[in-house]
Amino acid sequence: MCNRREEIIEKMKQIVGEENVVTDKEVLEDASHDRFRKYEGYHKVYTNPLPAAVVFVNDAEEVSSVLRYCNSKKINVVPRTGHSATEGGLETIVKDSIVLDGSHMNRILDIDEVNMQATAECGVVLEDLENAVRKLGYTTGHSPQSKPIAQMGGLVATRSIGQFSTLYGGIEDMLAGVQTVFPDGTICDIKAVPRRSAGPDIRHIILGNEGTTNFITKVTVKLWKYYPEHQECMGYTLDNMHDGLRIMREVMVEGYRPSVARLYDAEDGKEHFSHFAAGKCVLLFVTEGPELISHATAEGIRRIMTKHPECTQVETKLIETWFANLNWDAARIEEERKEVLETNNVCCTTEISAPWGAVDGIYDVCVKRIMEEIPDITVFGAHASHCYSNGINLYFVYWYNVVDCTPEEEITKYHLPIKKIICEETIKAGGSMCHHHGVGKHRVHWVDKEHGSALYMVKRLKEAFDPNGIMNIGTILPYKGEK
Amino acid sequence: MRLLVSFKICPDLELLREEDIILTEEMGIDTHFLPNIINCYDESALELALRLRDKTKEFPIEISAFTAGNEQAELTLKSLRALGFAHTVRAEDEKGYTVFSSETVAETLAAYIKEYPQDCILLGKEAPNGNNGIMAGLVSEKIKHPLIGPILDIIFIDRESVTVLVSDEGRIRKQIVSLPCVLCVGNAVISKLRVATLRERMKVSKTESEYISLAYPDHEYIAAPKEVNPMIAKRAGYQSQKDGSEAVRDILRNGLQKVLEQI
Repeated sequence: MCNRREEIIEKMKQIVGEENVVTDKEVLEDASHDRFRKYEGYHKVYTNPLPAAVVFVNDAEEVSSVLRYCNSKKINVVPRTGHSATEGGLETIVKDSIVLDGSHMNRILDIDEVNMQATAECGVVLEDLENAVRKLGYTTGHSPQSKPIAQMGGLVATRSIGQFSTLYGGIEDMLAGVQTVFPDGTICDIKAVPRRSAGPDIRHIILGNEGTTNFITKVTVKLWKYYPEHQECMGYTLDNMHDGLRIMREVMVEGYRPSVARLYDAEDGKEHFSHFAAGKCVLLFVTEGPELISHATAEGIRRIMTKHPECTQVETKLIETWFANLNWDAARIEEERKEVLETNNVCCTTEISAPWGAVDGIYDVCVKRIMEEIPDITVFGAHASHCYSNGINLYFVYWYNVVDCTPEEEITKYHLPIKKIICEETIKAGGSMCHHHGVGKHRVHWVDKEHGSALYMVKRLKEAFDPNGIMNIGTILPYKGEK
Repeated sequence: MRLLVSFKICPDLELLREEDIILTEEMGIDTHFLPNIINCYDESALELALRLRDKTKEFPIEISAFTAGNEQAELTLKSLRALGFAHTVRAEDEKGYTVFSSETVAETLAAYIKEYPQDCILLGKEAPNGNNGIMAGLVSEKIKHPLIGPILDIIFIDRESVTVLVSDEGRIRKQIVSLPCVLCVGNAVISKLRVATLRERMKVSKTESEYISLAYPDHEYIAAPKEVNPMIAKRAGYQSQKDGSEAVRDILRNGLQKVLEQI
């Protein structure tokens, strides 16, 4: 071990205690990547430099001390909580990084039923928070597929969004207050108020920063009353994705806000609905809330659907069963690992957003180009899962066989070329190349085109809050130095 | 050389929630809303067949797949054709017998094999619905080929014999079996079937399976018990007041519900 690494480890032990500094090789290997390089990871191939240590922090003061030290020594810090990131945001691409892990900060601090908000430390698993508030009859409204493993700090840092977003919004609509620590050690608390006009909304410096300017230590999110008994599910099959997109737009533009509005094309749908919708697209809606609102929303959507004879209604039970089994937990990830190792068939995703006028074209051109240009594809499809009055997202899902290449070549042979096509075509058409997974380290190639002239603002924020460039090097903005 | 794999499409019972357990009139559990999967042991058998074909260079092996069931199996059959199964055969089930009637399926498969002889027949040792583990034995008995199993892997095949690894009460042994034979696949070295590419699937998009009729038995399959068995009446901690097959129906409806309430 070189002196610098030893020095880093020793200092970390002084700050957080020896028991909170892990230098075990297997842990470091696992910490050097995230799910973007899952194929490599499953084969125990680690192409990134190993971090010097994984450092578990227990409070904001420890975070402050660690960051202050790293800032002074120009040590790269990769903030982490649930380790469920998918875009390389957690990769340690320079040597002697530390992974700063907030998962030990896992207390639910307050559930405020009067002011309808809950405060949790950054390491609280979302599902744990959701279960705690549901016992009292509330919901956070936030339900990404990673809910069983994702933690609050990471969910805010990546501007995450969940399955019920069409009603409750994304994390940016849910976050009321937040505490975070900057590289110079400054601890900032943004208070939870309903709304204010006291300058720019500084929560948005925190939201989506992907660990590049600060380390989130505590969040306060809004709560809603939970009415599971008033949920109404509706599912339909149809032949054509474009018809489905038009119907989704109609529902949103008419003013309805189901909690769930999802549309699967036949290819992506095959993985979920082949038992009742083989070769068909599937459109589904869920409404919830107080009985009158949920029912009225469902009735309004049903009236819209009656005007579309191209859609055939399916039994509610089919949709309910599918929905109950949608989320990912550690067991499913382990199942995936075994399946990937046995079949060499890998699933990856790229999610984008687009205005209504552009989404059809983006879908068509991506399907066409991927089919023509990428070898060994076994599934290429998409679903739309987050609707807005001015557009929608598309979640491209693709599976490919890894053929005649090493694990470390997999992302350059398949994943990155696919992502390139999707990102470039989306940006060209006026959409955004990342809807909710973050830029990470592998969409940085297009961040200049993504932001255009506004890249100036992104860069200046980085310069202002992380002048020494120690926070998660290579994320959001490309890294041009030596790895 | 010809190799045939028999497989079953089953509901994915791991996705069945406790609150969704509803008994049907036929004394089963309603699973129509569950996605389907290939029975895991059959899935191993399908992949083992493909691997054997790939690694046998001395002579070609023609692999076929057989299943009994409705059109929900078509997606899998198409994938199998895309993966190189020369023939995919579906015995169409019009009467809903196939879920538990190993006898019917075995009879149908045996009839097919008699018409199209195979050197080796592979099938999984049991399926999650039904779960009786007798299918392989029935097929073996009907076509008069020796049955070996449960096998973990197929190592080698030549024109006279096949070499397999057999699980034998906690030990593994290598066995050379003369052809033709029936191999029953257990917890094999491989559990997942490879995936066909889109281009492979497009190549077979215009092809179809072969369809045959199920060899339904002459007799009524479900026999009514003539006498109440006190042990059955008390099963699940529930004492039925009814007799015979009515007692069985009563226990499955009400007794099971009572047990679930206690859990």
